[in-house]
Order: sequence, then C-alpha cells, then structure tokens
Amino acid sequence: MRQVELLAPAGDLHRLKTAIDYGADAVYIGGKSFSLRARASNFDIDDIKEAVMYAHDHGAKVYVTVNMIPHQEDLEGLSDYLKVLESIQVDAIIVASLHVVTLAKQVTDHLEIHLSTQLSSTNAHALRFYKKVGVDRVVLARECSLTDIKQITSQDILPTEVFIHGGMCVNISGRCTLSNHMTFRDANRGGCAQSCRWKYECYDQNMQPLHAPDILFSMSSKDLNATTVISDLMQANVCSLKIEGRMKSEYYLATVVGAYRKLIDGMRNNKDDDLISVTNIELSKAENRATFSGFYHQVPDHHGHLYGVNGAGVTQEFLGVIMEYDPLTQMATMQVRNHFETNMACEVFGPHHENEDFVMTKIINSDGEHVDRVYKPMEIVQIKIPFNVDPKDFIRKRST
Amino acid sequence: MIEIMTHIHDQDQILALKSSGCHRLTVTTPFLSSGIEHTFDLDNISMLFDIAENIDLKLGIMINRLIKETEWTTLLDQLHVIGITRPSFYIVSDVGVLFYLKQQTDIPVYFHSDTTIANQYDASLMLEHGTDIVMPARELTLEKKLQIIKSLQANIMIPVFGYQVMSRSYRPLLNNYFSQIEKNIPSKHNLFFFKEDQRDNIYLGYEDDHGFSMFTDEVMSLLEEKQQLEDAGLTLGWIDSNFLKEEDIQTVIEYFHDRITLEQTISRLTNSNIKLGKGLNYQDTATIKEEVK
Repeated sequence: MRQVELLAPAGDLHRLKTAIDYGADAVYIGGKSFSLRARASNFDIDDIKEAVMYAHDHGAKVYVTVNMIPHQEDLEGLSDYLKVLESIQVDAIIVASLHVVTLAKQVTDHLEIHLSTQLSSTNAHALRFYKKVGVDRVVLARECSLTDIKQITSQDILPTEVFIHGGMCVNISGRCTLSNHMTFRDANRGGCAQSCRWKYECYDQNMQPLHAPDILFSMSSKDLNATTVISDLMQANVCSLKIEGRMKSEYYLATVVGAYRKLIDGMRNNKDDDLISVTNIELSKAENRATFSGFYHQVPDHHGHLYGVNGAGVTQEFLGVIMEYDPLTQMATMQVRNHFETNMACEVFGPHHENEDFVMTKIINSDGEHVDRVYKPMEIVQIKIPFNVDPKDFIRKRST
Repeated sequence: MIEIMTHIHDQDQILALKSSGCHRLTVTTPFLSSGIEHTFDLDNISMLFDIAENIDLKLGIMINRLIKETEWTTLLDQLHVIGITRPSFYIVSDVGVLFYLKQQTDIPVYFHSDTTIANQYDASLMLEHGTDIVMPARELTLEKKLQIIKSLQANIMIPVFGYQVMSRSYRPLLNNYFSQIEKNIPSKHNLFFFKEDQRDNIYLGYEDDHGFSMFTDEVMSLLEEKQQLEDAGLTLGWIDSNFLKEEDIQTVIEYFHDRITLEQTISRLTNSNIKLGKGLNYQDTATIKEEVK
C-alpha cells in the first residue's frame, strides 16, 4: 500500500495553515485569477508565496487551481502567471484545459500538472490520452464507483486522485450549464449559482402536475462521505484523497481534516469499523449538509439527495481557538468565535491528542474581569481547562 | 452552404433527410447514449447502415456520454456487433473513447463535450490529438463561436437548431424524486417539464438508463445567422433533434441547404408552435454577478 496523500482545500492563508496543522499532506488553493471558485477568498501572489513557505516548512505541498474552462479572453496573462507560480515553488497546478496543460509544459520546467475533475475522467483510456498530453496526475470523476477506480488504478497509468468528502455536483462536472442559462453566471468559470439545488415543479407532457406540493423536485445532492471506502482506496493505490470545500470555514477544516487524518493513519494498520464510527461522529460535528457515500457503492438513489432542505444545522458550535496554555494555572488563552458562558459543556479537539471534555467554570474577559459569558467574536479571553491543551486546538460546544 | 448533420428518429428519416440534402446522419444505441430521445436496438444498427450505404449517405455512430471503466467491455461488445469500421464516422464525448477509436481505426472521430472546448487553442489541440471535427462549448456566445470557426473552419461544427442540453447527471434524478414522494410514475423515455417558482421558464427533462438531462425551455435557432456563419467559414452545422417534429427538422435542413427561404422556414415552423430563441448566443455569462435574480 503506497503512502496516500490527504489533500485539503483552503480559501485563504489562515485556513491553509489550519488544514496543515490538522494533518493535511497537501493543500489546494485558488489564485485571484483563473480559478473555478471565484467567490472563495483566493490568494494573491504574496499569499501564495507565504503559503508555500509554511507548507514546505511543515512537510506539506501546495497546489494552485487554474481550473476554469477558459474562453479565449480568459487566457490573457496566463503564461506569466504560470511562470510566477513555478518561481515561488508551487508544487502543482490543477487544470481543466488541454491548452493550459500544453502551455504549462512550454513555459515551466518543474510544475506538476494535475487534471481537474472538471474534465470527468472515468476510464483508463482517458488517462492514457492525458498521459500522452503531458498530465502528471488525474482527478477522477465523482461518478466513478469503487470498482471503476480499482480497475483504473490497477493499470498504473497515472497517479489518481479522488474526492472523499464534501459537496458534490449532481450533474457531471464540467458539463453543466444550468447556471449559465438560468442566471447568466458561468458554472465552468467560477460563477455557479447552484441552480441544481433550487426547487422545481414537475409536469407531464400535458402539463399535469406530478410533484408533491410539499416536496418539490430538486437535484440537490447530499455531501460526500467516503469513510467506509478509505481503506479500499488506499489498497487500490489511489495517490491522493481529496476533501472538497475551498469556501469552508477553519472550524470545518480542522474537524474534517483532523478526522480523516486519524482515520487514514489508523487504517494503515488494518480496517477498523470502530474507527469509522468514531470518525463519522467527529465529522457530524462539522457538517452543514447530510452526507452519503456518493457513487462508491452504487448509482445514488433518492437517499443521496436533499429534498425540501438545503442543509442541516451544525450540531456542535465552534467556540474558539486556543492560543496558549499555562499548566500551572490551568488557564488557557483563547480567541472567541461564538458566545459561550459558564456551566456550558465543552469539548477540546486538536491534531495531536484525543478529544477531551470539560465544563466551562471560569472566564476572564479581555479587560481582566471575571464574567459569566462572552460574546464578542475575536475577543481574547482566558478560560480554565483542567487538562493540558495545545495552541491551535479548537473548542466546541458539546451537545447535551 | 452549411451542411447539416443530425441524429435520426427512425429509419425512414434516412431517405427523407437524404432527399433534403443531408450527407451525414447519426444513430445510436441505448447503451452508447445519454439524453437521446431516439435510439436503436443494437441488432437493427446493421440494417440502418445497409440503407445508408445503398443511397450513398454517411451514417455515423454517436457515443455522447462518458464510458466508465466497468462499462468498457460492454462498449467493446457493442462496437464489435456494429463493426468498428462500419460507421462512416463517430461522434464522441469521452476522450478515452476517442483515444481508443483512433488506435483501432482510421475512421473520422468528431468530438463534442458540450462544454469543455471553449477557446480556439483547446479546439486546435483536440484536432492535433486525433479528432477530425470539434464542436465547441454550447454556452459560448455566437461571437466567440465565430472566432473559433474563423480560425479552424472546416474542422468545426456548431449547433444551429434545437433544444440545448443544460445538464447531464449520471443519477436517475426523476426516478429518485418519484421514489422520495412515493409516486409510481415511469420516469424513463418520457418528456417531462420543470418550472422553478421564481421563473416563468418551463424546462424540458428526459431520463434514460444513463441518467437525467435537462434542456432549455426554447429551441435555439441560428436561422437568421446563416449568412454570418457561412462568411466565417462554417461548413457543418448540427441539429439537436430531440423533441422536434420530423417535418421541422426537414424544414431547417432545407433552409440551410438553400432550398427554401428564411420566410418560408419561419412560416412552416410557426405552425409547429415551438418557441424559438437565441439561447446564450447573445448573452455572455460572467464569472460572477452581484445577485441572482
């Protein structure tokens, strides 16, 4: 079993650091231009430079998405951009255009080229084609089953990458123009309005209604959760396991990346069903949509969709981040993210230890006053935690 | 003149469209296609090729969907039954299928992905890598399509008429929905209509063994742009024949083949009660907008 890479998304520098701190082997980010997630925060060149330095110092890699499907006018400046990315030692670019592959090969020497899921690779012959073009890795289409993936990877054509968690397009990636037609926003250049998640009335050919009045037709997909197949993917020698979500919060990343890190490390020894359950409990604390196993086991039935709702509420509230801890006083300095109060049941989680519970007993606000509650985001406060915690650990509210 | 190619509804159309001036038509099977209203049993394909050959018409096979690795054996079986060298050409959407066919045969392979060839360089690269004709992304404006046509001319085909596919899902979205609301309604091989409550548009939906496709609410028409297309060097146009009457398809073909005037064409189409529009040909789509209306 080859060493598998855990690849996490990051919408900005702060989230990149969180993803790496919580165990990502590599992080993918978008630049200000050429990237599909136009509404993600995205990185300017100085940010990318700092991101690469931080990642490399921590043994991680940075991939920059250049994955819009470019129109003619979108190509201006691309050549220079690629050269700059190479000069600041970005490890790879993720692309969705053969022209961008060819251009990158022409103007750079060492930039690795990964082919985006936008080009929907579903078979070994597609990988052979892309290998001939000069691609170094292929992100397989989400429509591939576990069997498809095993059969593709067994032919050892190119390193492969698959999605394991996060949002799923219900339509074939890179081939959807619902948003283009319905909102004049280009789904394949970063402007997707997620028209697939809207609700539609459904009629037959005589315009007789077929929809249920309280549950309209929707194409909205649940999020992917591949915990049950991680072991199989590792044994199939998939190169990289990818988490979706460049627009997701630092709390989401810490929870999801941390959970999959522990699962992958645990799976290296043997498949453990208890570990999968523990991982799913942890993941449920960050999810904002219900999840399912995607196409890994079967073509999704109605259990793979969200009807009537767009997402479920988060079950655990993110309270703040530990900045430092004094074991003598048992007082932690933390940065507040959501309001909390004394007597609240809390949980600490972090990349280097198991989750631990405590009850909030003592809070000192930024003015040095003992208080019963805090509510100002980003305020620096002190709280009592009766066990050792580390900087960058997160605190969440425990559900009762 | 712009030669028109289309996908046929039934075997009688081969003769009918030949008489309208068509030289190239396509057929497909249920396995090879997705979101195509009219398919043919594998066992009947050979007969269609016989008919086409007898009247000196080129019949091609359309494989307009992605083929998963676990389906590859079935693909090869179907090509074996058809006879891999029997078709005059193939139209494919999967680069893996393109790659395989070009290794096995010299028969022309046309490539369309619906969306991913959006500039002249990508189109040119597909030609360099073995495809003979490329259909650029459907969502491009006419101006952008013309730019690609001018640079690559005889190697480009664009849709000139028909309901445009907006999305393809591998999931049986309609069957899944009916299961959710516990209604026993056959979802496959029937036309359905969809209306989002904030909009007046009525979109078309069609489901088959390979998932669900949603189509535009109006027929995209480039009838008025014929001269412009010819001046740019377009020699091949495509009619998306889904959900259209055979007589309307024939009317449009005759128009593009200079057999009837625009006025005659519009007059005939008006009788069919279809809503014509320009789709995204005059509407560029931005990467971002302030709000979704």
